[in-house]
Amino acid sequence: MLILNNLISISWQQVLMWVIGATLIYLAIKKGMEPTLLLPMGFGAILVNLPFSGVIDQMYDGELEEGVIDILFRAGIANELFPLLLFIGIGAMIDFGPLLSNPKMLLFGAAAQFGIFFTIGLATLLGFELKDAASIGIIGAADGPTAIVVANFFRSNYIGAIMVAAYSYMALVPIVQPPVIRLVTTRKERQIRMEYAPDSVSQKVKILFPIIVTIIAGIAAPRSVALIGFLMFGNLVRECGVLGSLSQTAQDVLANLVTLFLGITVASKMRADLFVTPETLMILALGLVAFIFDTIGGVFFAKLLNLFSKKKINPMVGAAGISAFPMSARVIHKMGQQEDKQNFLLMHAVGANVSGQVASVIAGGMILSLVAR
Amino acid sequence: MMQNVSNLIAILPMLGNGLLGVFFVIALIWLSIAALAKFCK
Repeated sequence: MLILNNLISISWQQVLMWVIGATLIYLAIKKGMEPTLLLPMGFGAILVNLPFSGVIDQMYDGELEEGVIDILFRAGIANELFPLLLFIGIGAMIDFGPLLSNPKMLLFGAAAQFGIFFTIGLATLLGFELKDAASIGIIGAADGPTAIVVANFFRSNYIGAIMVAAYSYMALVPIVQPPVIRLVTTRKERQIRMEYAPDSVSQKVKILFPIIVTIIAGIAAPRSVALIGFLMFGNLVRECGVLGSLSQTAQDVLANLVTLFLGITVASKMRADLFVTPETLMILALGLVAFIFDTIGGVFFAKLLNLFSKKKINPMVGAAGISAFPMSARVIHKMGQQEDKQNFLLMHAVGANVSGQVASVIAGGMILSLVAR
Repeated sequence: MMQNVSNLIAILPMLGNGLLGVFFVIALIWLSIAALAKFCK
């Protein structure tokens, strides 16, 4: 009788969420798309959409029974702990050397955040409240932890859809970026060769870089200091030269452990009543717009610099300024090789790409500072 | 729809400030790296 009661209470929206969950698991396993996050999110989507699921908070006989996923959400995402801890691991993984040896690439990181601000405007035009529009626009940061922090700061009900969009499009960078780049560049521009003659970077510079970035970002956008500070702390641990074991732990154990819980916890916001809405489809579409206009912003900024520069920049490198690291850099290098087998853009693109990591966090901090909660 | 358009117009300066703010911070970081590279050989 109890089983029958449970069966009857299954809604078509919940079944749809099982299908979405299974699709995420399929994409993670079969297509290798961001498996560390899409697989836990997919499984979590099934878990929270079972009838009277015990993993989310439920009322039983007038009493609230806490579910483990909601407990994890309050413990790790509502207070922004998980994404910030993950940033320590990401900071420890990133080698800023290619950027420090060619700091001009920093500008592309800034230019490729254009899609974020364009999408906030578009979402507002489509009728979203500003706090939701800001949370949707940050999908264009191409940076999951930043997207979680911003969407959570604004208490957006769309955090589930925002996470699915952010991580899916990051995985889809090799499919999204090439056609957009081809559309806004000529073949001749794509064939521009760039010399790679990096300046040597001393360890002192590598150590001072995370400290200085934290101070500058902290003064300019105080709300970004948690994000940028944890990212740069991880990087300082990596570069200081005396914490090899901690650096390795941050890169492997910490990052893996947080990622394990992050995906399944985000599923707390993938309940059918929150997720199966027309707004979800709009958010998925707006996320794509954000990635497209990030790419266009980076490419057009490179073209702008070329108007004033003797040494021409391959405009495709600008597109690597989005933060999807290292996929975007690889995509740009591959596209360069397709046009000219002797064109090696990888290190330039990596410089722009790691710059995108810094700039996307700063953009997130700017939005937190500018938009009222 | 008109309301949405006026909402958009109202936030345009903020969006501009946001993007310029990102450029400003990045430019400061760039200058700092350049200075670091010069003085910390």
